[in-house]
Amino acid sequence: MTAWLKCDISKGMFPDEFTVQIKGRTPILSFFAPSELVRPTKDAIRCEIVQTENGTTTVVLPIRPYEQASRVIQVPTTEVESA
Amino acid sequence: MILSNTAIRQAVEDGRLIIDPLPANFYSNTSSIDLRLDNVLVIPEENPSVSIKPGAGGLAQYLSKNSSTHDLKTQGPFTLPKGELILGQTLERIHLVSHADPTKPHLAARVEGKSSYARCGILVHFTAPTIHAGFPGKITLELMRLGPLEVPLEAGIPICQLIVEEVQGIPKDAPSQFDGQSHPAGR
Repeated sequence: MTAWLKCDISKGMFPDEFTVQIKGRTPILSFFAPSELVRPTKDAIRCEIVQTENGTTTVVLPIRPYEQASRVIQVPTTEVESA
Repeated sequence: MILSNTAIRQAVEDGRLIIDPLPANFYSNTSSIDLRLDNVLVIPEENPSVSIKPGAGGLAQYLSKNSSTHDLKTQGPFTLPKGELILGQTLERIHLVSHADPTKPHLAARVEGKSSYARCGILVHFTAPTIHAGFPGKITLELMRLGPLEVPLEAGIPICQLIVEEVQGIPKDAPSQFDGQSHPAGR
């Protein structure tokens, strides 16, 4: 199921991309995303929900962060909003 | 298997490959398609006092805050300083569409340089040529001049070529929650 994950959105290196940071974790995850994948006004990145359990949601990010080898992360369910 | 120019064209017509805008000179190479340089170049700032650890966190934020841009349309051609890294993008947006036609193989691609620029010592990518199945977006180019000749870069020049290949097997579209884990118990 497609959803929106709260994150920090700022301008990217190129005009048609944004810098995305997933904070609240170590290391901070970061990547560049094209404009169609972000909702800059609400600081959110599009993702796919894999599983929700006990207040934690496993999501698949649209782009692999530089800091880890997988697009899959676990986040507090409160950080995720259904699309 | 590398696709010929006619097979690339067929993949476009089948909807398995989107190239936007579609180059007018589609058949300039027999087994690839030329892609053009977009107008914005990104110039990373030199900062010898900073060492980067890509896994340490916030790399994208650092890169975007410590770079400037050069617009080839408004600021004119750009000559690569010898030995320095500049980032560019293809004018064309590429999409190697997943599940466009379940009876046909998925596509992946590689971005490669062109011999004319290669002979002048211009690199257009290094270490990251693979465009994975399902990828949507413009292709980022890592530009560097190794040769002695100054080669001004202009917007819209055919800067690289896209080699398109068929993928054997069906790529897993959405990784499971266990991807990236190294322990059988899921840690």
